[in-house]
Amino acid sequence: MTVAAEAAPVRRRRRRTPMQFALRRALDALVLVLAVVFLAPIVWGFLGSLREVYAGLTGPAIPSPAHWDNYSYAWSGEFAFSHYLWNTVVLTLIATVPAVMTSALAGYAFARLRARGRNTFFIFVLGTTFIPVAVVFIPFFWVVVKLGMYSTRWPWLIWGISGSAYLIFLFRQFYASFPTELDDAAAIDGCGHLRTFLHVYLPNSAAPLAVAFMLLGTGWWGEYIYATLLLPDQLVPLGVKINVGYYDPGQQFTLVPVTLAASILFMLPPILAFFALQKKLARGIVTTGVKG
Amino acid sequence: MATAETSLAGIAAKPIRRASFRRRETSAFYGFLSPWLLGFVVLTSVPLVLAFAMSFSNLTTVNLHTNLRYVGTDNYVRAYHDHEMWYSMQRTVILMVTLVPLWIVTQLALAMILDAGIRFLGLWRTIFYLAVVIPAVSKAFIWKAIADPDGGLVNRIVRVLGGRGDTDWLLDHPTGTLIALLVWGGAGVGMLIFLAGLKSIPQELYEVARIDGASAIRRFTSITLPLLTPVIMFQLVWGLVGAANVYVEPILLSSGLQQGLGSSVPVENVTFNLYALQRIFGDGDFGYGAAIAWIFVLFLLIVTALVFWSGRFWVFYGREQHGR
Repeated sequence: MTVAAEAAPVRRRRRRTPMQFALRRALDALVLVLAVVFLAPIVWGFLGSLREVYAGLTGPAIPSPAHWDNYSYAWSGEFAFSHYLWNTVVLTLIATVPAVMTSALAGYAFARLRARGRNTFFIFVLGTTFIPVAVVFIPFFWVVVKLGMYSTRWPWLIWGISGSAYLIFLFRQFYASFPTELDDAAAIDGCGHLRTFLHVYLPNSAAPLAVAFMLLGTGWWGEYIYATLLLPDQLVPLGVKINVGYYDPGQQFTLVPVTLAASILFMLPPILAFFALQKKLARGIVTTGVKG
Repeated sequence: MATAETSLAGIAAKPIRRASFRRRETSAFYGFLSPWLLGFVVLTSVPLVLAFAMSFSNLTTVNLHTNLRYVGTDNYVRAYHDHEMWYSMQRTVILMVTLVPLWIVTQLALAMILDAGIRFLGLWRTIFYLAVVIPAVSKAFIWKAIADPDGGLVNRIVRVLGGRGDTDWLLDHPTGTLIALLVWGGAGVGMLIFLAGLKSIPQELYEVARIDGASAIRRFTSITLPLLTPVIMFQLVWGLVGAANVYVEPILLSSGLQQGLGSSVPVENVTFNLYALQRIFGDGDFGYGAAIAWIFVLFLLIVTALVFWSGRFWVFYGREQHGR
């Protein structure tokens, strides 16, 4: 039997032959190996963050003693970590929260409201996701400067308000499979479209909301290029500061372990959010589904 | 759609009121889309038109206010003779043809393993998805720590296996390192999408096939794969666009941006997008950068159109009616 055969779905519980038992063990082993491969980079980054400050990445694979003070240096050594962390939080929130709301609203409109040109418009919205960044980059800058938004957080809020085509697609898929009886009930109660959306659809959208927050939020949390080019030093998010790296007092070389410690701290909030939203997330992606 | 129509007719008994309801619905529709439209106009369509105009001008940082003029297709002609541009396009194509199959195979394999009734499903799913939520900057530093010539993970493993283990992966194999990072970091979302696709395949099909004595391989090639083709198409298109648009990771994997945006990126990792950005932000050559960006748009348009067109030969839509 080949690997492909082992991986094929075997769903029904039935009496196991020795062959099936062996396959099951092989599958367990395979998933374990893959999990190690997928976790190894993160673990390696973590181990690196505990090395001696000037050691780079040399030394025994598991550093001993562990230099936890790298984390306190990352927090306060080179720049005010908490200040830039706050910047990241603000940028992520203003770009994500409105975007999820307006995308849900637009997704609802595409799924439920009948209007002339709806389908054409939907294809148009999806088509915009194919426009590559490079082509709008420079003129976008020009527009930002003309509107007096250079070195402010306004572009993030505008990105937020305008939502995301991908999320509109996601919400449309979800709302299209929503039972229509709820609409009728709301209409009989005299709800307009907006109130139907706010009181009927939105409260029942926990799963796609979780997916949307997670997908968009993690993207903005780590956004780097726009922040580098648009914002002055006191407004840049943490990622920009960390990428410059931590240096020894003589500014001669990078303190790799401290930079890794900062990277680990930087990825903790999205990871914790992911753990908190886990269950809804898995369900959300399943229910929103994808049809080509 | 039809059911909604009849139920609405029930509520709005008089035809006149029904017509006004229609109009209200249309205005609500466009009202609900107005935030997106506003963003689209300010952030995309105006810049898009400007970029098109720029590509026919000699706009640079120097002549922004003086001597700015229309130069016809000069920028496009220049791009045609620019070997570095063709090289960057070649690198982008290499990324696309390696990343997309690697992504799809990894994502589908992970989804199938998770779908095989394995124990601790939630744990494995979390582990495989985890990399997706890690910010790009952290990912890049982690992979620098893996690719490091002295104390990196890869070289340590090579040394344990008896090799020399002194390769500087970031300098000697920059594209390989980039691809490894992107496969690891991009497998999770597709895995969940494939998993949803696998769950939507009716179990009876497998039952019948088993009774007919179809082998596991046969069940995979005759049931799983054909029924997954719409999902594969979706992942193929998104993967191609994603791979073509790679430019942040090469910058972050290089030693930094103190000398300007991505100027220290090894030439193998200068993708088409990044090459355009370098012309724009490195050289201040706006007109030329815009022309290159438009060539990129055209290129991506042709590729995705070809992929969509190819779908009629291999995507299986079953009994369902499909609009798109």
